[in-house]
Amino acid sequence: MLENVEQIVQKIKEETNNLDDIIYRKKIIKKKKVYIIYNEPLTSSDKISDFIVRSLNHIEQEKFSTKNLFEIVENDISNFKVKKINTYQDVCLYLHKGFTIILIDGESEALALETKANISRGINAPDTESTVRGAKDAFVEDYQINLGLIKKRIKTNDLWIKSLNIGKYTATQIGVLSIHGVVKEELVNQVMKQLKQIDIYGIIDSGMIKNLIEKETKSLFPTIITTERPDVVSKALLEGKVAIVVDNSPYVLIIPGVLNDFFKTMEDMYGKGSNVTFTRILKFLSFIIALFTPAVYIALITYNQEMIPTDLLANFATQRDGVPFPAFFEGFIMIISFEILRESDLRVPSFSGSALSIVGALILGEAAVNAGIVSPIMIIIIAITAISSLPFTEYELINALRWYRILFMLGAAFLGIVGVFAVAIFFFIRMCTLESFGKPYLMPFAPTIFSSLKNSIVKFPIKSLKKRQPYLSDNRIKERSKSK
Amino acid sequence: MKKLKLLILTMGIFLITGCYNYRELTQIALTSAIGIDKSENGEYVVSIQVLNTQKQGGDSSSSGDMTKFILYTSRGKTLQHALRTTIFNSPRRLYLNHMSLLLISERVAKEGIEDLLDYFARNAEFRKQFLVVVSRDSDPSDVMQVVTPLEALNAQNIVDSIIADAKYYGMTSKITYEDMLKNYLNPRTNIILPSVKYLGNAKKGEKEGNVKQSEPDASIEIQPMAIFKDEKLVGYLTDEESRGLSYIQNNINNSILTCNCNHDGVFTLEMVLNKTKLKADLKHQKIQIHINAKSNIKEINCDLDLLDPNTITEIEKMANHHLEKMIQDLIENILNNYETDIFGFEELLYKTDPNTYHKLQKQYGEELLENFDFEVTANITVQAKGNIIKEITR
Repeated sequence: MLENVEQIVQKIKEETNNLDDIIYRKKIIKKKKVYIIYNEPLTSSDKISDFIVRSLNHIEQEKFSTKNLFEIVENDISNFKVKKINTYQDVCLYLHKGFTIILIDGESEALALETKANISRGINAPDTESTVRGAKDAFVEDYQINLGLIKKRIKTNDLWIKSLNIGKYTATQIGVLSIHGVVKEELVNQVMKQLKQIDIYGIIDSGMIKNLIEKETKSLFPTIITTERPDVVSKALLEGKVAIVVDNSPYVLIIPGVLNDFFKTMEDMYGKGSNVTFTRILKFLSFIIALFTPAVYIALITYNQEMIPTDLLANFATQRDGVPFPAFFEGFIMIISFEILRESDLRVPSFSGSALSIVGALILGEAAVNAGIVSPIMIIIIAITAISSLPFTEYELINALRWYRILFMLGAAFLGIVGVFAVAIFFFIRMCTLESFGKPYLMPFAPTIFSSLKNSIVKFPIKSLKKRQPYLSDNRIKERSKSK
Repeated sequence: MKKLKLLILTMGIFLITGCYNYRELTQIALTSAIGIDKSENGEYVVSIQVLNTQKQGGDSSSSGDMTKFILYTSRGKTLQHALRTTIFNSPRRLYLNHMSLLLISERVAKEGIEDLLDYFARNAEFRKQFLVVVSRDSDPSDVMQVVTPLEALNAQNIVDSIIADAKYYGMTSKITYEDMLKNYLNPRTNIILPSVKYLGNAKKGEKEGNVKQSEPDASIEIQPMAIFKDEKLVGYLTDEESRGLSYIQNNINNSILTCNCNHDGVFTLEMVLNKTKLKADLKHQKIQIHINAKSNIKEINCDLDLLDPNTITEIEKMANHHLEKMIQDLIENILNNYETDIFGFEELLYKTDPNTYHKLQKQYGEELLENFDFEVTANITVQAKGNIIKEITR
């Protein structure tokens, strides 16, 4: 295949339309043509000139028969990562990965030498999942660095990685990480099967993988955790979950992700049980507030006034006086304007962001009340709802909440508190039927797993958390080194 | 496709049944109290107190010079007719769920309140937890238009006064419509209701200015209990009798008891931790009322030497005697003059021994209780003498 060097070089040149970035250096060693080919933007020219070219020069001066030039080069080249390749496709693949290819005339194999340039940013603190206490490193866009951040934390032979490339044009490297002996093998197989079925032109980010392998596509709630924290990934692996690292993406996927996982932060592992329990209760409360508050308010003031204490109702009535819109419409306007505000806040450059929030939140709200378009109480309701959806780090969860919030409001607008309950029944049925890679979405609450309830809303001291969830691992006892 | 059809059908359900009972807060008039009177020609005259929920121009926070409530009056052959035709005067429909007070005029109460009980029980718009009060010697509309200090909402003012009185004095007790209905439907009990009275100048009292002076021109006063026989008002108790009634019904939470000394002068005890036990003996036709109470000495206006331990026993004895006599007199007065069992003694007899009760009732009929002996014993313990021991003298 690769015997005719000139022909191959010609072929590459043709296919790349004589791309200037690909450098071909011809060298004659012992009357044999040797080509050094590399992709300039992806490679480090220092490495090439220091090690490869110099080694070849050195080899040139040694005495040996030309017959085993290939073996000599393979053995003597001063590069650690040497791969033998024997197809034209591999030559191109490694070329685009940043390897340097050495083609020797008349040999059926070629050598690919790792000379990648360091085109990645350094490790920074996480942007989206900040903690007060805990590790401050976050994943970057480089596959190897990301793996390194995880492997640094888990030092065992049992950390198994199955890798594959996906995407016709991008050939993105994907790694599926799991701890052998802890994870249920069928989960890994299932994930691998899903990944292998993907047939796509390219993968740009792990978010695409997430959408491609997620089974519950109709569900609004996320069933896969995305995180940029290596410690979260390490923790998940130890529990028997599977992580997917995608090249060029600073977000790693964790499978499976159930509702309770989105209420936990890494900090929970470090805090005292009682304090963590308090924060978790707060989070569950804010989950409920974020879902129900506008709906319940609308239901109460348009249908079920008898449920409000008289003084409060008089207060509401005074505030509503003069507002020309029905309560549902009033709430809907506010919710939509808040969502627009949030979206624009995310997109504008940070230097004008704060000005926007001030205009949006303060001036618009105040003016709307003074103009009599909305009542002050509605501003309070929307504000508390908006605040309550923010303690969650998972963006998908916040977005899911807002759909359901509007659905609940519709129920309230048509049928009052009965409507809210009707939608709530639908909501809970939906949540109960949801699964994340075969794992019930509401575990450990439904089905109830008592040992796992110790780390759900309440958190017991870390010493008493001895068992893994039966859905995640067959090896349920968290073994310690001393007990071996 | 099937799912889409299902979805459309589901949405249809919402649309068909949707918005039933829908009412915006700006469409309803929050009613806080209703007063019922009758005109000369037998028509109901209904006064309706509605919360004023109009916003002040511009500033939303202060309630400013606006009146807290509005009083509507309307007439009709029936209560429903009168209530619904309030709409002639008001732009909004009455919302009756939050009503906290029903004021019945003396005239209506004397004529009988059975129709009224029926109306409020039948009508789903009412909650059954509002208080019922008789307006004594005054028109309900007069009582309801007084602008009261501290609690600007007149109805809430009356309700709070009655609750406070029941808690700290014990003259009245909090009787909701539901309680009243229960008492009426039970043949062995009778209705009692607290009463209120209007004091002062009617025309001035309805102005906001009424509360802008330290001594208002008009005010509302809580009065002792009104007693009913069957559906009709038969009379009022005095303050002392009213409290006696509360003692018998074990309704005293905290009260004061002023008794005469053996010599001249009076002293006052604060009664705390009262417990009344009733015991019926149908065989010997005897009802025992035993009051156990703890008290603190609050005031002594007579010559008593508190350093002497015997004085405490003496005080206890005097107080016991006073209380026993108070209750004995009350029972005698009610049974002889009004012939109505407001205490619930018949219910007690029935609960103790239904068979004998029925037998006795056949035998005596209406005069059943008059054949019973009442044995009142009080056991008041003085537990504290206050901060000083000796009387302050020079």
